[in-house]
Amino acid sequence: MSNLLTVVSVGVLFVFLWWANNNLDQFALRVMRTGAVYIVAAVAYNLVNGITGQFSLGPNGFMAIGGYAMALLMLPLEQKKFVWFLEPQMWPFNSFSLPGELFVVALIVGGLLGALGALIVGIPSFRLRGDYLAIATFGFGEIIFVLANNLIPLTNGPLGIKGIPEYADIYWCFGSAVVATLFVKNLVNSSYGRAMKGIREDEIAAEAMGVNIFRTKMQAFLVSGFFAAVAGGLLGALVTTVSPTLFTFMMTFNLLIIIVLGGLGSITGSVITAFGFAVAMELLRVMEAPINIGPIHLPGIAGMRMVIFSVLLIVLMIFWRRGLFGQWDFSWNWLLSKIGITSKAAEAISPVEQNGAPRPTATSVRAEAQEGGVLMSLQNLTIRFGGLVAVSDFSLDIKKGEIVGLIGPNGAGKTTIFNIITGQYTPDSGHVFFDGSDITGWRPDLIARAGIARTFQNIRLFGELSVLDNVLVSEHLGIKSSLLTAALGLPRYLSEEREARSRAMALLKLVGLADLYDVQAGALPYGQQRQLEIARALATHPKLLLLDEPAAGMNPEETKRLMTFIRELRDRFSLTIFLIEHHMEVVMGICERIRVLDYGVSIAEGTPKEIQTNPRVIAAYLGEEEG
Amino acid sequence: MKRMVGIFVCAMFLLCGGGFALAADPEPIVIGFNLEMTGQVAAYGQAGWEGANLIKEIVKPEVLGRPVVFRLLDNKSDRVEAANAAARLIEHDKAVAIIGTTISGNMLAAGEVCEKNKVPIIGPTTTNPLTTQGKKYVFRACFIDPFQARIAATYCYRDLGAKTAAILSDISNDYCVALGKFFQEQFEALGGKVVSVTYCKAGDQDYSAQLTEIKSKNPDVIYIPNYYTEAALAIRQARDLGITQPVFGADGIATEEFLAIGGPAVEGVQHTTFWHEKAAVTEIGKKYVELYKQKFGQDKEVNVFGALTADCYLIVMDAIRRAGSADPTAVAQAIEDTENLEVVTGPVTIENGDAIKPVVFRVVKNGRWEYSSIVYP
Amino acid sequence: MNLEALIQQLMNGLSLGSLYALIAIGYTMVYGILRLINFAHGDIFMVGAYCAFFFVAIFRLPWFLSALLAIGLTALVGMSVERIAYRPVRNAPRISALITALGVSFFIENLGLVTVGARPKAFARPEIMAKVVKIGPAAVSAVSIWVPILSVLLLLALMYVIYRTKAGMAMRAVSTDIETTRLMGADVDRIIALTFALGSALAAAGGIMWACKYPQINPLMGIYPGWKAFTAAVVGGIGNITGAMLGGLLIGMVEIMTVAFFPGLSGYRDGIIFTLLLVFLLVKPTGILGESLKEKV
Repeated sequence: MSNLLTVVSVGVLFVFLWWANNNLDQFALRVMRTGAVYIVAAVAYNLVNGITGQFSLGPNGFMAIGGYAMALLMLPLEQKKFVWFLEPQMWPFNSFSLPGELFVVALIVGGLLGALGALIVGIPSFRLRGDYLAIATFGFGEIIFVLANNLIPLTNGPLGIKGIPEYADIYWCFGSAVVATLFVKNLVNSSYGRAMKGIREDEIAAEAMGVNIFRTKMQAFLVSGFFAAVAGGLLGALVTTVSPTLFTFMMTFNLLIIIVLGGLGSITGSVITAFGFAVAMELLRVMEAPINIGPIHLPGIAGMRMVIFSVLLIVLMIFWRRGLFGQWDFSWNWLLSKIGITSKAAEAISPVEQNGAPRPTATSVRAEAQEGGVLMSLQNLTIRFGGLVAVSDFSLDIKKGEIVGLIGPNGAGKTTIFNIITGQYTPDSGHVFFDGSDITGWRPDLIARAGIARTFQNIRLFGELSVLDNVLVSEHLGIKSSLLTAALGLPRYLSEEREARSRAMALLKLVGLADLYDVQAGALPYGQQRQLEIARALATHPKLLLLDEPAAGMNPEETKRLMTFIRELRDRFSLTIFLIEHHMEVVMGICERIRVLDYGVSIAEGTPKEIQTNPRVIAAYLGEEEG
Repeated sequence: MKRMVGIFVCAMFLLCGGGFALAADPEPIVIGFNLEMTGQVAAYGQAGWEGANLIKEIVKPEVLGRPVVFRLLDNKSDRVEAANAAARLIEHDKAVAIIGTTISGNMLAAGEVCEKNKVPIIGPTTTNPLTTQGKKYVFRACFIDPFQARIAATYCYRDLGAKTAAILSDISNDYCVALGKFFQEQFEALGGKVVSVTYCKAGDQDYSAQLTEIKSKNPDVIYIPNYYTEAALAIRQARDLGITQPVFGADGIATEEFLAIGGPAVEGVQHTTFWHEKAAVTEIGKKYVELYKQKFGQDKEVNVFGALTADCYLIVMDAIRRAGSADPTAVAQAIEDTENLEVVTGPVTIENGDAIKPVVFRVVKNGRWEYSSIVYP
Repeated sequence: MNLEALIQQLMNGLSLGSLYALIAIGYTMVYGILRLINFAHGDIFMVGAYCAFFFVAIFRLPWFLSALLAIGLTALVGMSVERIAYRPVRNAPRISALITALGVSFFIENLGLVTVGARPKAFARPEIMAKVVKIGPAAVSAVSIWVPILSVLLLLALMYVIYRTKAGMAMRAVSTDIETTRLMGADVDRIIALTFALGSALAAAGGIMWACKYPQINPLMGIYPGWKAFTAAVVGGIGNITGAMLGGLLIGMVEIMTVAFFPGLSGYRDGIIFTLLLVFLLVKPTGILGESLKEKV
């Protein structure tokens, strides 16, 4: 249904373009073409800044790459001889030029070079957390600018290249806009897109759910670099000339205004504001021009436009962060339900029970067979922060199928141990063995893949995503289709997606959130957020589940239910559970074994009963001086 | 709700997309102006517009018995906008000819649109040789870079007796790079030696490294073909470093800011330019200077961008008259046929779209630009 | 290259580098505390130079008094920027804060263009800065000697504030853990304001010295020094003040020495700086002195 509607509306668009091409004047067509080029660039830019939440300042550099690549390939030979009059053009570009029919090849080559540029900036920028991308992409733009100016035999330096045939007609511009928009929109709605949004919402949580942060950021950045370069190629073929000053930082600033105004994260918003921007620039032209009334010369509000733009940017960020469309995106389902053709319920996914539970895979069968073997072994873990020893020489073995509790006063280092297990921290000494491998120092996403899932003490859901999408982010680690397969919506991916969805729905049903699947996770009440975190953790198909204070903030009634639920989980998914909890009722009620931690040191271990009577534990909890 | 507003706004834009027609009076002849009124080089466009309005008072805007009206569009110093502005002037305002842009980069984009639509466009100060190359409808009212640089090189070698030269040019400006290259070519052709070529970038403020390098090569003359800010700063720093050799510049430093920023350091700096009010050899040139001083004050230096934009106006008016019609193609042919037309900056002949006109030499004396000589082509 | 040129180039690099260092410190202080790239910092630097210019040119105040007043005024501007634009987005997603910062940067630049005009203004420098001094065989302008000396003095003063005063201790506490410091009863808002004030004051001092060395000011003069100083802060190890100083000197020296040893590459000057940045991020991402920041989970 949706696909059909998309095809039909693209068809209608092109009929309109055909009409426009024959009836509108050149100026109107120029403005429309400019708008279409902006759409390509803005959609690409929003993928990084809005969807993935990484602050790039790079589109101008990538556009320059695409523009030059296109110009070098498409410029007719006789024109090339003219243009390079300071120094001769370098081989091989001086010896060939592509015919007009191959314009698309030039755009794609440019796009690939743009992606290569993105790779070069991305590798150093994404290795660390933090905002290095902003400075690195700005620097990259400057490097491209400097190279374009200096490499005269390649680029003709500041004189630029002129006389490019005007290949970027209305069909090419809008065709590219349609392709870019549909590709990016599909990508954003796919598992890959959800992983990107997960990073935007909470990088640490996404990583703990098995999302490879570096690779996912890089994927967004490469796609963005590709389309930005395509936009650059189109722009060059639209204005028929390419030079370093065509792609200045102003270009990036304009695009930033567009995506912020349209809504960071809304592809629909980017499309509409990008086109609107091109049109508005022409409409507003009148207002800024200087006026002469008799002898009085009003110099216009020269530069005022930029003042207003920058104030707009600040005000938007402070008061209206979501822009026109927030993170909302147009979909046919939305439209159809608005006009009452289909009801919202129709798109709900019915959970498939047998698919819902992680299938008893070979490993889990083996796990059951070896019931009683050690699943995880923590050996002599020590970690220091500055001078403070947070955890000291901590060792613990957890057997398959056990429920083990970790308790201790606030600040005892419990969560730190979880963070060491899941790879957020690397211990200064000691080892974590899990399921036969030494996972000490592994990246959190690899640990998640190995089979350890967790919840967080201070809930870290992807607040702006729907309940279902939160769970689906975790399903990403099981997706085998490539990014291209997903973005092109090929059947192989679609069936994977369907399966992932029904599994996710089954998990939601299990935690009692199935009816709320399309609610924003951040809008759920506290208790349900905790439930959702558990469902999200389960979606990574773990062998070991770490629960960090699952009962925090729950009333006695809820706590009781939680206890039953945790036991159920263990049996149903043949899980091993390691939990931190303050509610003694919970700990004593469900744990088979309890370890007590104080000031980073183990002070006791035993069955609930033993712990309850242990004098050191009592002392630690009552805060008495020891000894 | 906000969503609906968004969609509404979008629909508005789409509706507008089709028809922004502004009614144009068919009777008067329209000359379009495509100038940099805002943005990076707003100063040039604004000065140009000033000149156009000034010359209108001397040569009445009337030709073939029809009134001439100006239609100004700001290209915001941006080439996408420059191309759009040209299209709009042609489509909506039915301009017979377009004056502008002041910088070459914008002309490369706007010129293509004019060429395609067969409407003449004439740039007052677009010195990049590429702008008119291979084009029948693109012109310029100034001389081209190679010409200016060669005259400068010849002057340095013959008249200043320089045997070695250093060049410091702005790598991010087509104009500066071309001047530097052609200067070097000519200077070496004459038998001189260019001992150092270094580059800076527009907006640079520190030139100490380049200048120290130049100083160590001890050239007889230093050629700095950059715009006024970069040139003035570089010269000041050169004097700070104890570099005393004569400095030669090009027309890009022909502003009062050059004198203000340079202060005593730029005393004695010489350069080539389009004109000097003392070199106003034509009748109309003298009138223009007189009117300019009357309007803006006696001690105000007459702005070169304004004068050359005025020249464009005169060239276009003359062409329309000779063509005997307001048909853009005929006007373009008539512009190409311009010969020895008396304009503000001297007699001008157009050849292959380029203006052939004399080069004026000026020198800074007591903090003012003084006329030193004129070289005819 | 002869000895004379070498000495001169070293002095050039030293004075350019110490100016970058002064600006870089402001970036690194703010980043250390708020994890925010204050894109407007380069423009604050410009505001400092303009303030001094106006005090001299319009109010006809003596030069040194003007410089002091300008530094004070710029510190106020920096604090207001924080109060008006950054505080409301302090707890917003990081990208919102970054966009706000970029918006502020463009706002200051363009407001400058609209109010004081794009045309550059000549900056009057005191006689003591203008003299040409002989160092060995090399002639060096006095300002190139003054700049490193004054920079070092300012840095020592800053170090004193940070490591020897109560306010400095609070700043260090905030940069380690903002929430805990708040819980301990410290007025975090006030400490952040103070950080901005100090950073801006140093930027203003840098701006004034910059204007003395390159005696021209325009509203866009802060852009490139700003970006390069930020690069210096990253190269030195973001969040680390000593690192920012070293990074500044390194960037300044690399810039000058590129031209000195390879005059043919002078056109690539800025490109080389940013390539250096990418290389640093690749090889030593934490910078010369920085430690990797552990994020609280």
